[in-house]
Amino acid sequence: MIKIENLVKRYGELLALDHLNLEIHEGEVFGLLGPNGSGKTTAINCILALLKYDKGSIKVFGQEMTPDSYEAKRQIGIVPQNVAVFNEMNVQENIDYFCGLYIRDNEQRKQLVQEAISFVGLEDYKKMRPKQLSGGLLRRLNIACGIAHKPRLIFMDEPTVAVDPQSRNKILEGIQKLNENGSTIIYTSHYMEEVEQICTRIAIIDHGRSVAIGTKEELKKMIKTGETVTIENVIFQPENLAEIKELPHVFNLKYEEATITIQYSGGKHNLIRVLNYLQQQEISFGRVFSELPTLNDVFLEITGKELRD
Amino acid sequence: MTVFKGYMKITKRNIGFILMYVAIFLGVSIAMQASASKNEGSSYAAEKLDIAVVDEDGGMLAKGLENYLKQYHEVSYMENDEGIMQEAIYYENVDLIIRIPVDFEENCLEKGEELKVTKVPGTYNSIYAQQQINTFLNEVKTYMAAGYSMEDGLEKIAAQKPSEVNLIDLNGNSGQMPGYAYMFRYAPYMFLAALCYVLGLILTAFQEKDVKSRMLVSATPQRRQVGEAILSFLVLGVTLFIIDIGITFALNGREFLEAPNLIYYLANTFVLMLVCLALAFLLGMFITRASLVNTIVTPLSLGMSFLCGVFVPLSMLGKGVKKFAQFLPVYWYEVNNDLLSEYQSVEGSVRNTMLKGYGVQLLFAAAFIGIALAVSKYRKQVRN
Repeated sequence: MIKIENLVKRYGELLALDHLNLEIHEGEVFGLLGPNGSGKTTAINCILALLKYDKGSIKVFGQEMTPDSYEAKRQIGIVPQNVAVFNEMNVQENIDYFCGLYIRDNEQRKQLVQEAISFVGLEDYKKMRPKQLSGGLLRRLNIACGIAHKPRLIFMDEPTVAVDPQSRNKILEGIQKLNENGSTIIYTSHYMEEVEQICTRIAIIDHGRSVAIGTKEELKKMIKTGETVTIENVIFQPENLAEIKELPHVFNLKYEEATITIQYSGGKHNLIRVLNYLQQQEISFGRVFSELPTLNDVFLEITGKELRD
Repeated sequence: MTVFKGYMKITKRNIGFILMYVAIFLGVSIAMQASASKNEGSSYAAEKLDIAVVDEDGGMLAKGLENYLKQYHEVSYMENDEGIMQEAIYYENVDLIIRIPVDFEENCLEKGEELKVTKVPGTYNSIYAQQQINTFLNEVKTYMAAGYSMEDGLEKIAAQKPSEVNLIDLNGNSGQMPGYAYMFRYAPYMFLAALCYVLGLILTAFQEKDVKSRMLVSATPQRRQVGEAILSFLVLGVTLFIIDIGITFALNGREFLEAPNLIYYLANTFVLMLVCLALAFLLGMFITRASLVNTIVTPLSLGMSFLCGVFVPLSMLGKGVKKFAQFLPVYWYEVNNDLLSEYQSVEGSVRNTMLKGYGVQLLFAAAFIGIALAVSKYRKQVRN
């Protein structure tokens, strides 16, 4: 559905996109991750023909994307990060306005607007102005304005920022429903758990390049960390730490303030092995956790930074 | 016509502000028109005084004086009652009371005694009447010294016609500013404030970065969007123009419709409306937040109105102010407006000045649009 090849974009001296390659298939919920300034927004703006690029090619629906690709644009919807609606219009009028930029037929548009209102659950707020809505409801309105015309391809840029958990769940359910209804979704977010929950494939972008791409399972396999065991309230002597480091699959450990964090590269029964060791050495301990790698671990290991850097 | 309808919806939401500026315009125009006509009335009253005569003599000379004064003033008769006289003066029912004493001819003509005159304290217009009384008595004395009888002398004086003043009406307005001219004088404030405010708000909403992105990636071509935006600008401007002309017609009726230079007034106002639309477009390019619209538009509209002769006539502005005002479009509108209120017939050099005024205003409009487009293009380049 989208094919980006060797995309280069410069802002003066700054290289925003450095030979970016991406392929997004129909029916995917494609997560685009990257620290701030990594080039995500620039890439999206280039795909949407909002920005000119220096080199490379972008094909959407098999056609080169230009500012005049109105046939392609007709099938695209965007949900920007900031709520982009008119304060002077009520909920229904806003959705009708943005839908009207795609659908001329009044009857058809009327029906689509009602469907969008129902889809985001704003039936009781139709006549309200944006300023009268809560943050969560505003986000839902923002989404409704981007999807009312039933686009095949939807760009969603952090649609759940500053939203209460209830609205967030509603929004995420909605995105999955849109996908089930046939829309391909490109989703950017800083919330790893959201991306893990809804995205079928994920690309991590850093320094304007795609540094990792695949399903969440594939991405997790790309990193060294297989399992992380944490033990609290435990007192170790230096020789204990050396012995634990020699256990199978351990590649890193951190001992601070009576808490040890052991990282394993893979393998099975890691937790049992370390607990056996503690029993043999008659070392008492508090709570014990075992965690499989998260997308955050993947992100941290690949980019070397926190997502909010 | 989605974009057009969007503009209209936002305009509708701000209709209160448009009505407010129309009401201010209406109030100021009516008040100034009324004030101007009141001033004209009082200046005529100063020339014709209300004089009360207490005639204790009743003789031929007394009657002659009364008839003489009647040629110039409103003369009434009063009883010789101190109370009535004081009341008349206190309430300013009369400007002057002249008491003609018994034996008027003997006392005033022969003994040279002066007539008793009571006037409203603090007024000076009675001096004019006192001079006329002295003139009358001197003329009677002159005729009698020349051998005329009292009767013949009075007849001769009565036959003298008051001097006629001929007003040479070069411009056809009888030196008066027509009532509707006031409406046109104050119109720029309404156009500037209403159009810049409402269009400023609309453009701020449409220029918001994410809204703009949404519109740019939509299936409606940008050219169409711009076309619909221009159409909505014109609809708003023309509506305000019609409101302005409608109010002027409603308040001035046939006098306005039959004005010989009506077409020039309409053209001048239409050009002004275009200038205000262009200025609103330029402001909309620079104002990024709705809260700033009022902060910028209020001083701009008031400032331009004060500097360019909207609230204070151009004739009363200093040279320096007028020189500065030449760099503002409303000045040229007011120059044209003053010419139209002064001359009923627009010909020759008046016509040339008018056309120059239209041209300069249109150049301002073109410059505003040019700057706005250049800013837009520059921003687009920076973004890319």
